[in-house]
Amino acid sequence: MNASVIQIRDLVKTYDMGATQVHALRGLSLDIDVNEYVAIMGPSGSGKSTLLNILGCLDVSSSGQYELNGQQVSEMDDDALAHIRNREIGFVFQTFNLLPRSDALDNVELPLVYSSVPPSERRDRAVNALESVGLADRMHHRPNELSGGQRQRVAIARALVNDPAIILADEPTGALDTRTGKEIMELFRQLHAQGNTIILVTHEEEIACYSHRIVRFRDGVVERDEPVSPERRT
Amino acid sequence: MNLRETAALSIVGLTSHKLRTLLTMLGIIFGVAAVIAMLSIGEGAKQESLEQIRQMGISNIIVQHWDKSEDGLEDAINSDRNLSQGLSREDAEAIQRIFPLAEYVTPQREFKSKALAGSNTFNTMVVGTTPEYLTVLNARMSSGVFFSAEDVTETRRVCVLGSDAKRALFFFKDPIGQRVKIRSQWFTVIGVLEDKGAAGGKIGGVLEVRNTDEDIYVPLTTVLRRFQFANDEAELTQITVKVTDSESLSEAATIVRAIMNRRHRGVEDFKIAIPEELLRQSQKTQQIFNVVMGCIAGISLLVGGIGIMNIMLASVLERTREIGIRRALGARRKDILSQFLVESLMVSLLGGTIGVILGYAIPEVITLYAGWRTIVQPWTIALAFGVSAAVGIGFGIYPARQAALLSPIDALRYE
Repeated sequence: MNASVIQIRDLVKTYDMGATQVHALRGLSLDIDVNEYVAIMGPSGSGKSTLLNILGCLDVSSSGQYELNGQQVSEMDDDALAHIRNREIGFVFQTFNLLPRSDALDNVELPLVYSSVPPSERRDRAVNALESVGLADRMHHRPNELSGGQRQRVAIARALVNDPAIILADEPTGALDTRTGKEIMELFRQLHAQGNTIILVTHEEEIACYSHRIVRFRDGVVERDEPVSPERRT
Repeated sequence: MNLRETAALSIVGLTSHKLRTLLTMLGIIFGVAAVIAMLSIGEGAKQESLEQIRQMGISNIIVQHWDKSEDGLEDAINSDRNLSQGLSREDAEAIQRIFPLAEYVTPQREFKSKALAGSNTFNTMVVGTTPEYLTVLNARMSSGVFFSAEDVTETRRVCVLGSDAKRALFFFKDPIGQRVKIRSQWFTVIGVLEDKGAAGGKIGGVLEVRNTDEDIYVPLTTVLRRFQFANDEAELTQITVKVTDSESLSEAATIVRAIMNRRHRGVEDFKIAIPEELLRQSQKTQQIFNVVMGCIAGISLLVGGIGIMNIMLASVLERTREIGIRRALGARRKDILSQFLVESLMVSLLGGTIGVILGYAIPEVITLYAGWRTIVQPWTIALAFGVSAAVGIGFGIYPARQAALLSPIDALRYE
């Protein structure tokens, strides 16, 4: 039995939109173990992205508990959350979110800049990360000189560079064509094989089938939580 | 992220928008340049008037003939003439006799004339006076001697040259024993005065001060005997009274005024000026000038600061996504805060540096073309730099805080 890396209890997230309140999460509970590969699915507005943002410490919940590696995240202050984002979590976005004026290497170095790694070591680690996603020959290209797939690889290298325990991916193939999307999913498969915990949000059944467990959301709660049988896996 | 890296990062940010950075800096550049230039012009003017006043003698009281025709008061002249003959040698003697604090009383008769020596001519002021004038003027001989009491009683045709007059008439030759022609009269040069090095001008709008280095001095008696003047002209143009006790200058001036008023039957055909009082007056005016100019320059610095704040706020908006990305990757609030703060500090310090250079250059140009004296004081540069740094931090802190307080997810979602 693997230990839980993420434990969520009765998580509530309410957005205050002036007169009305939008309930994105309504008392959601979920456990995720070390080295799990989980896909979160659900119609838009079901709260799947909200959960991912809270898991990634980009957003905070209105109430409920979130425990990450035994630490109570819901009680942390801003600096501590920044530390978690920096060290424990690698986030991959649908729209890549690379700095447009920095080259691939500088983009990948960015998390190390904020964790006081000395500049020379930074460079080495960023180079290694870019090599591991197959971009050794594109290190000095800026995002606008790279294809969508290459940009997402840079973003994944950036997510990996600080050796986080968990990789969170929000529709990582959403902005890519099918073939490139498959390449990126292959990369995630390798990362999982190397021992990373991966949680990805998607609305494509095909993409979800790369994972080992699919959690379906509806209206801010878990509707169905089922493993993907090996024969269904892509 | 240490300070060096933050600085490097902000340089990248600034150089990627060169025109915008330059325009942002302009306010600071002009503000700082204005502060330095204004203060250096003020300091130059102060030094100038100080020197002029010192040249007139700090313990002197000056009684000047008041030529009312110059002030457009022709009608007053005729009625005055019936009662008073204007400044005279008797006035000077009376002051000397009655007023115990008068150390020296020197009567002066001055007139403009052309002086000739060989083929050189020079427009000069001829000053007929007595030997005491050398002491009263605080002057020193560079060669030869000043004329003596005997030269005066014997009405000898001797003269002493101011340094500029000597240079214009004799260049680098020794003029002692040479002859100078003034209005068809020949004078023998017996001495040359040391350079006093003050330009002419008007102090406090009251007293005309000319460049005494251009004067030629001759015995008063010689002037009065050898030259023809219009009948209605007063005998003297000025009486200079050197007072033994310089503490009581204004009381002394009151006494001199009383003596003169009685002798002139109440006719105001003279003006009394106290250089020391003028000095104080001009210092006060200078202070007001400095405060006003400082305020104006300060306002331009303020406007410059608001310019920085405006651009930084726009920059924060424009880079909201970048802030979101940095926050998502582990930047703390203070990392974002220092990034934007250092950026605005850099803008203002760079602007301050350019402003200092400009602040140095503007007074130079003014001196070159307008002939004003300007003095750039080191402390004004320190002040300008300090103020621009303060402006950078002061006006940079609000936009930087705005940036730092954004929540990561809001910043990332910002379109």
